[in-house]
Amino acid sequence: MIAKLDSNGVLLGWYLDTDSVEEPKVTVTKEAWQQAIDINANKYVDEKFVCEDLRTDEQKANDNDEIANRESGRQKLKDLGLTDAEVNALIGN
Amino acid sequence: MAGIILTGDTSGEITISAPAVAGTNTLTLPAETGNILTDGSALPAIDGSALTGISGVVTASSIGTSNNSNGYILFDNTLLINWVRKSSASTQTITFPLAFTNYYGVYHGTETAGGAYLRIHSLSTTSVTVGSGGANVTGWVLAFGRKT
Repeated sequence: MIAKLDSNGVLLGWYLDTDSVEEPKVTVTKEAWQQAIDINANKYVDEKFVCEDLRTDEQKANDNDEIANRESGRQKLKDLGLTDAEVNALIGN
Repeated sequence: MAGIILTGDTSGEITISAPAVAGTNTLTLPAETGNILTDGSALPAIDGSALTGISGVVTASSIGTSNNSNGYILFDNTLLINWVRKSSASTQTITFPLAFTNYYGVYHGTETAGGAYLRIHSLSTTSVTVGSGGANVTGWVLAFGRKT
C-alpha cells in the first residue's frame, strides 16, 4: 500500500500499489498498513505511523465548548423540571 | 476389464483400465512433467486470474485479529466500501484504509446504548471527520463510493 503524505508527514490517504501517487509518499507492506489503520494513524514520524491529536487549538476549544454547552443545557432543562429520562429523550445521554 | 499394468520399481503396481463399455474415446496425456490429480488429491494453489465463470471478483483487505480492525472491500465493478472505527471520544479525523475516487455517503453508529450519536463533520475521498452528539462516544463509520 502507498501512503500519500504532506510535507510534514501528515497522512493524506491510502492507495493501492498500482495507483499513481505523487510525492511525498511511502510504500509499506500490507502488515504495516494494517497496523497503521488499526490505530487510525494520521502521521508518519521516524519511519513509523502514529496517531496524534492534529486538531488546532481552535478546534479543541470548539469541541470543549460543545461539551460545556451540552452539560449547561442539560442542567437548564433539569432546572425547568424535566426528569433525566425526559432530558435524555430530548438530547440524548 | 482391459487395462495396462505398471509395476512399481520396488513394489506394487498400478492398473490403468478402460471402463467395461468404453465407447470410442481418446485420452491424451499432457506433454509436460507433472502429477495427475485424482478425486483423492488436494488441489494445488491456483492462480485466481485463470478462473472463469465467476460472477464477480472481490478484493478485500484482510480482517485483523482484533474486532476493532478497520478495512475495506473493493468490488470489480469499482464499488468500494470502507469501515473505520471512531476510537476516540473526541472529534476525530480518520483516514480511510483505501482512498475513494468518488465518495457517495456514510452510515454511522455508536458503540454505546442510549441517545448519543455520531456526527459527520466532513467527508472526503481520503478521510472522514467524525464527532459525536448527546455524549462523547466511540463508534463506527461505514463509507461507500467508487474507486476507478
